[in-house]
Amino acid sequence: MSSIVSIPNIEAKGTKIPLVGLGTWELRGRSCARVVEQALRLGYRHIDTAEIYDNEREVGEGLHASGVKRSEIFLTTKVWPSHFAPRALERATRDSLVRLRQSEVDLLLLHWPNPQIPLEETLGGLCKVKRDGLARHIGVSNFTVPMIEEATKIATEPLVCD
Amino acid sequence: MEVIEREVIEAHGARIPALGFGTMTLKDDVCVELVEAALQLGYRHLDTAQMYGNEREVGSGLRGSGLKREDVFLTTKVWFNRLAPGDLERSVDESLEKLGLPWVDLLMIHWPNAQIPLAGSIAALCKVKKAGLAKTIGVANFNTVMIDEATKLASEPIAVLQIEVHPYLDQSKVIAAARRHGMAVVGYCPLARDKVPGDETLQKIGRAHGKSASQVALRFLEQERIIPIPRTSKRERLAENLGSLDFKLSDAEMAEIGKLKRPDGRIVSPPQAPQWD
Repeated sequence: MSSIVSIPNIEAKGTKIPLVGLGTWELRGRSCARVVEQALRLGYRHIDTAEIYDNEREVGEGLHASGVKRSEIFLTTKVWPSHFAPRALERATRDSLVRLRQSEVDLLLLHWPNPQIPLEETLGGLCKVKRDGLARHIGVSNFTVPMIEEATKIATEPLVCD
Repeated sequence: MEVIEREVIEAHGARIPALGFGTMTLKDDVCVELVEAALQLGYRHLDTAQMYGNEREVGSGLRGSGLKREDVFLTTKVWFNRLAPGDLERSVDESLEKLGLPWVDLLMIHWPNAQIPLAGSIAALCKVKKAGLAKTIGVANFNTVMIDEATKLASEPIAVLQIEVHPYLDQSKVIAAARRHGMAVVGYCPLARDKVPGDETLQKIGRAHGKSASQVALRFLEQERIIPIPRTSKRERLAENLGSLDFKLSDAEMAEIGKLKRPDGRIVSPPQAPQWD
C-alpha cells in the first residue's frame, strides 16, 4: 500500500523510529481500532500504546485491519511499574503481545520508574525479554536524567528512551 | 523557612508540612507564578488534583522554584469517576505526565463513589503505592464508615484524610475516626470561603497577638494537628497564611474558637458527597 505522506525516521542505537507516532492513550474500544487503522492507511507508521491504556487488543485489531505490512510499522508498548519484578515483567510483556496479537514489539518501555524495585533487577528482566525476542528494542519512559544515566550504565543491551 | 522545617505532621511514615498551599481554581500563568512564589516564601506542601485542571502548571511552578523535588510535599487526587481498577492507574499516569514528575508524595481518592466497589479502588490505590508512583496514599471526603472500610480493605496504610475543616464546622467524629487509624488530617476551606476574615471573635483574638483573623483560624487548626491548605490567588495572602505558624493560641483562646461551630457550617457538599457524619 502506498502512503500519502512519507514520514522521516529518527535513528537511535541502530533503531529507525518514524518521527511522528500515533499516541493512543485516550483511545478505547472500537473507536481505537478504527483510529489506528485509519492512521496507518493515512501514512502513520509508528503506533504507541501501553499495558495501562487498556487498548492493546484494539490497537492489534487496527494494525491487522489496516493491511499495512507488519514490518513497515513501528509498534511501542510499555510495562506498568507494578510489573517490574523480573518474572512479572516477562509475564506482562507476554500478556501485552497476546492482546496485540504480535510475536514481538519494536520497542518495549518501562512506563515510569519504580523506586521500590532495584533498577538492576528490572533492567535484567527487560534485557532478557529483548534477548528472548519479545522486543526488538528496549528503553525507559519518564525517567529523570540521572535515572537514565544509571539505567544505561546497568543495562547489558542498548536502551532507547522516550 | 525555619518555622516550616519544624512543623511537620507524621502519619504512617509520611512527613507532611503543617501548612499547605491549595491550588483549586488557579489556572494558567497565575497558577505557575503563585506556586513558584509560595515555594520561594517557604511553603513546602502543594495540593492539587486531576479535577483542578492545573497539574501542568503546578509542576512547572515546582520546577521553576529551583527547590529539590524531595523538599516539597506534593499531593494530587483521582476524580471520583476514575476509581475503577485500571481507570485509577490511568488517571495517575496522566497526572504524573502533566506534573512532569515520576512520583507524588500523596495520592488521594478525591470523593467516594457509591457506584464503584470500594475494594477495587482501594486495591488499585495500594498498587500505585507499591509501584512507587505515590509515596503515600489517602482518601478525601470519606465518612467514618467509609474510613473504617477503606482501612480494613487496604494492604498499604491509608495515611491521610482530607476534609473540609474550619472553625464553623464540627468534624470531630470523622477526625476521631481518622486518628483511630493513625491518619493525618488535611483541612480544605480553612478560611470558610472568606467568612473568617470578618469574624469578630477571631479578629479580637488576633489583636492580642498582632495577627489577623485568618492567621488565628489557621493557627487554631494547626494546634489541633490539622493541616490547613488555604488557597489564594494573591501573593500577600500567601505570606499572611505562613504567618500563622509563628505564634501560639492559649487554651482559653482555643476553647473560645471551638464555640464558633454551628449546625449549618458546612460549605462543600456536592451531589457525590457521602452521608456526612
